[in-house]
Amino acid sequence: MSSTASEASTYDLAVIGGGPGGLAAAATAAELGARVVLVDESPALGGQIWRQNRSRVVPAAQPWLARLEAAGVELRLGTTVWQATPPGNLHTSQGPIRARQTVLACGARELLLPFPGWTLPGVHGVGGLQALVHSGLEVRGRRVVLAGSGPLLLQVAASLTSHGAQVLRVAEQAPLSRLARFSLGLGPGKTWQAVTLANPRFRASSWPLEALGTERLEAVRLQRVGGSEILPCDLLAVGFGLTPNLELPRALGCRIEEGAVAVDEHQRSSVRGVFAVGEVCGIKGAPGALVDGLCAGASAGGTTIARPLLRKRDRQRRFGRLLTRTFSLREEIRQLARSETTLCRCEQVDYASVAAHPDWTSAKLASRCGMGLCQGRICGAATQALFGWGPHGVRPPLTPVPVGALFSHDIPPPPPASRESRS
Amino acid sequence: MSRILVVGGGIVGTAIAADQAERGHDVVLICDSPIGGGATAAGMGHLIALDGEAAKVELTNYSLDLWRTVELPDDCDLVVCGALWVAADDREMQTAAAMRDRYLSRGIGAELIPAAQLAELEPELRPGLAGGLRVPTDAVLYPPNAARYYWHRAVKSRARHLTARVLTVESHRVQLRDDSSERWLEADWVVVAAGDRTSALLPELSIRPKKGHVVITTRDAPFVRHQVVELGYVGTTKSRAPVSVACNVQPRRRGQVLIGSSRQEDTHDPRVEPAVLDRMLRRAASYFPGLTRLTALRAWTGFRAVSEDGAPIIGSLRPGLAVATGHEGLGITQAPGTARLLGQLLAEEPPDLSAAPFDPHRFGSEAA
Repeated sequence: MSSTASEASTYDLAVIGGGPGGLAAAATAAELGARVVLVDESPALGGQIWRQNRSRVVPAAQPWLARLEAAGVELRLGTTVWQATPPGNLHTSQGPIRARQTVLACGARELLLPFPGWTLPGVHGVGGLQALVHSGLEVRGRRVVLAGSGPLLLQVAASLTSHGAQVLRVAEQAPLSRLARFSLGLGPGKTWQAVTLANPRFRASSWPLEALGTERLEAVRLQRVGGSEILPCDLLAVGFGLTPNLELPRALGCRIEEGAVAVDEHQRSSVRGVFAVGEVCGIKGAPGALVDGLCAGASAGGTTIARPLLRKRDRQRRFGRLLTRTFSLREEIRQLARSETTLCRCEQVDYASVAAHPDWTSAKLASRCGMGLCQGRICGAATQALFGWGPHGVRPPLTPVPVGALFSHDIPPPPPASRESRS
Repeated sequence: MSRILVVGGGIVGTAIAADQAERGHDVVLICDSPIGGGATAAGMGHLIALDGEAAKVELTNYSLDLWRTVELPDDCDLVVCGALWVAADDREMQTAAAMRDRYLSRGIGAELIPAAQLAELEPELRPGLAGGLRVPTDAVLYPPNAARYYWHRAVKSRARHLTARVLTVESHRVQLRDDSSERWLEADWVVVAAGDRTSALLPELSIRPKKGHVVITTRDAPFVRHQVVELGYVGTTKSRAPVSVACNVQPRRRGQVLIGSSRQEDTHDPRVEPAVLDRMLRRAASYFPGLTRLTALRAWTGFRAVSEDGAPIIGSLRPGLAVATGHEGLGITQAPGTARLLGQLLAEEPPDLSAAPFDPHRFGSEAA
């Protein structure tokens, strides 16, 4: 179908986000007979976790892609939703989309917190480095340190190792006692314990204090039990967990609780006709997102959710809460930045210039933090974690788009010919 | 020394607070949003010698002279880029010529730009335009920090800030709510500089909100050099159509481009409206076709405060109660003059310019 429809076509369901949750919701609803459109910013399906490109095919995603195709789900890839009103009026970079219902499967992003040196070349987000490797960054023989918090650290460490990187350290800020409880909570046969124990580079109660280097990263200083250690390295991957992408849910007016979209047992948000699945309604990982998607697809497709599926979903939600408890950040993580440490990378605003203000709006107006290209996605989440500043208002475009994409229809016609003669 | 309560922390309120504090008065500024927020933060932030009725022009030029005397800190991002009024056809070029004569008669430099030179000055303008009028002294700045500049001056003269919501204003006193408790503050003068919220506090004054949309781009290669405004803009400022748009495109010091403008009556809804954005951006792109390839970072709205006759309202309403609002799109430009004029009126000094056109009683209401 045309990707630049100039008039809104009406669907039964629009699914925003092509990760596991979105794929499952779209396939399920379409198989129940709904006319479904799936929208994703990136040119390929899979989301962050199943990120695919020309050289990378993710086996786990394949059955879902086949089901989408068989069920006739329409795809709008490379399409940015820049504004939305309930239940499914979407303004996109490729024209308007209208749907009777919407499933929000917008996923999560990394929480990056400022510490001295975190903006040096060679320092990456954990997920960011993973994505770079998937799209071809050569890490063979490079010395890598991973630091921060959450299961992603170990996952990415394993992936980097398989790509030939020399992983020197995986520093997890959570204490060993909590990690042990987490392992027990997973039950037998889960991979976490095995991976942890198998990795001699893993340290609990350890976190990044400072990235060292002049032109680029040369070493990292890590807090460890009883002192600190300096590890010379080529790459440092940091991440302090994931934070849901709430811009679109908030533009639609969905109620947010504890930093995630609040949903009921049918995955319905507080806004009629708007569902949410996966990380956007609470960090829980890909298996949890799939189950959410199956539930939302069934609800949006007009059927009841099977009991076993509901039980599975409840288990996944419990796992999500366990994740949150296990990897909650210790107070020291909030004290890492110095006055002169960059807090807003886009506008080059230092920590002290932001911390001097009572709230986000004042800080933003006076220092311009959050006014740059990332629209406050990074420093806004950081100030929320550091200072407890409430989430800031969302404004269109929810993601930067070409000015021309804000036109509701086509490019304006050329000026009248009569004026040309004067030039 | 008198106690002065200033209601409103925008550019007009902060300029008044500075003027009053520097006169030695005990000033308390009350607002419930950050200093320099509200319409001040939403506006395009131009210092522009807009053509129009004599009284407004006099206040504008008086204010622009005052702006030139202040040493703005770097974070105000002042750029004296000049304004370029663009004529689409010969009729508009005649308008430009008449404007030039008026500017020159007031001692403001202005030059007519023929079509060929227009392309040199602004290569991104579409071909086929008739020419323009350049006013080299016009400038743009970052308004929230301009308000903070005035506020810092006020603080230096011992003004204080109270974060609270003002519920009621009366002669000599203000009722406010902070931390969920309500109380009255007494003063010699209460000065209401609350923009489009003024009518909610003073129902006898009719101040209508006029909604505007603005879009800002990401930083990129230089796109425009001047604040480029279509000559039709002056018409839209007076328009009573439900929605009017005009091309108004500014360079910002940090390499962004600010795109306006729209005017809407009869709405209090602060949401960005895609249909209005569409019209506004198409209008701008009809002058700058290359705008469509720039990246839009943010869109927002704000409410201009408009009086019944379109002129500001500055002066004493009753003993112990004064007002300064109704500046429409010229709040930033006219703030220093407004503060100085109000200061002279309250001190019963001879004003530097005629205050009658801004008299709060001119509308003939019972308040008179």
